[in-house]
Amino acid sequence: MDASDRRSREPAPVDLSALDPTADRERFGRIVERIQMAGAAELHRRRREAGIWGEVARWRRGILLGAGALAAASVLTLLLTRPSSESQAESTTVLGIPSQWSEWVASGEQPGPGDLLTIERSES
Amino acid sequence: MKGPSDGTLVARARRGDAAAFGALVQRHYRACNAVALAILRRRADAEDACQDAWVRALEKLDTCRNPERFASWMLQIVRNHARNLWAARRVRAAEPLDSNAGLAAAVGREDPTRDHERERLRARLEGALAEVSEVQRTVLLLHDLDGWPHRKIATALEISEVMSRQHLFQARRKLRAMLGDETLQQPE
Repeated sequence: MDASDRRSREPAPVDLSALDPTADRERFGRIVERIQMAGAAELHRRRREAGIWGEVARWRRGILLGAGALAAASVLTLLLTRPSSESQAESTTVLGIPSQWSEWVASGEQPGPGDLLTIERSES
Repeated sequence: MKGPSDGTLVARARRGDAAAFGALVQRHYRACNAVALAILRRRADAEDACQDAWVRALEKLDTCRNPERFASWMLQIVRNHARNLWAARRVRAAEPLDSNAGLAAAVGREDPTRDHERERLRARLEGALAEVSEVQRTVLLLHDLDGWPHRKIATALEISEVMSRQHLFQARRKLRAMLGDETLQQPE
């Protein structure tokens, strides 16, 4: 059986327009209105929530932008004002740490037992 | 489809836009009513079920994962809600839900003089529809009343297109046998 045969054997469509809820426009309008009224509380809640979260989102963007700029400025400042080994030695002297120690730290060399004894003697 | 897409309307309704929600109701109410009517078999019951289902859908709108396929998602909610109502009614074995107390009463009956013939025809159709299976009613109403193509019906009802055509064929044949030529659709 080809498509045209099948179509010719198909029962004709039934007129269901009497069951169409949108046929009477006025009545259908009232149905839609009533559904909107029933959902009004939820719509109101959603509007309020969208308002709050929208506000938070706007603030969050500003705060993140400010924090990013601050972080970039901090990194730049640190790079430009990196303390030299001389100033490190001065500060350790102020703190009462032998200057030789800061030199070892800066150079990465390990002090030998003799070096430690020399410092100990000079301190006492 | 005229106007904004379902996805756009859903996004706006999620933000509480009443006009967008109203547009979704206007666009999909007939299909929802078809599904509810297929299950509950009475217009007034179907309208009550639809109203509840729409409010419920609005409450859980954020769970609609694919807003462009809103119609299928909505129909699932209507179907579940209508089935619950149907089950509750059977358990209670109570009076029909349409005892003039629901939405039908609230929105008003049509003019009895003007629509007497329409009312009579509707009663005949509802009686005849009660004689076919639920899935046949659903396919028939979605296809012949709301103009859904078989592909869309198949997706929404999770059946094959072939089965959708088969259900339509069976439903039309049964209705035609019961109703005769009175409700023969006039060619456009």
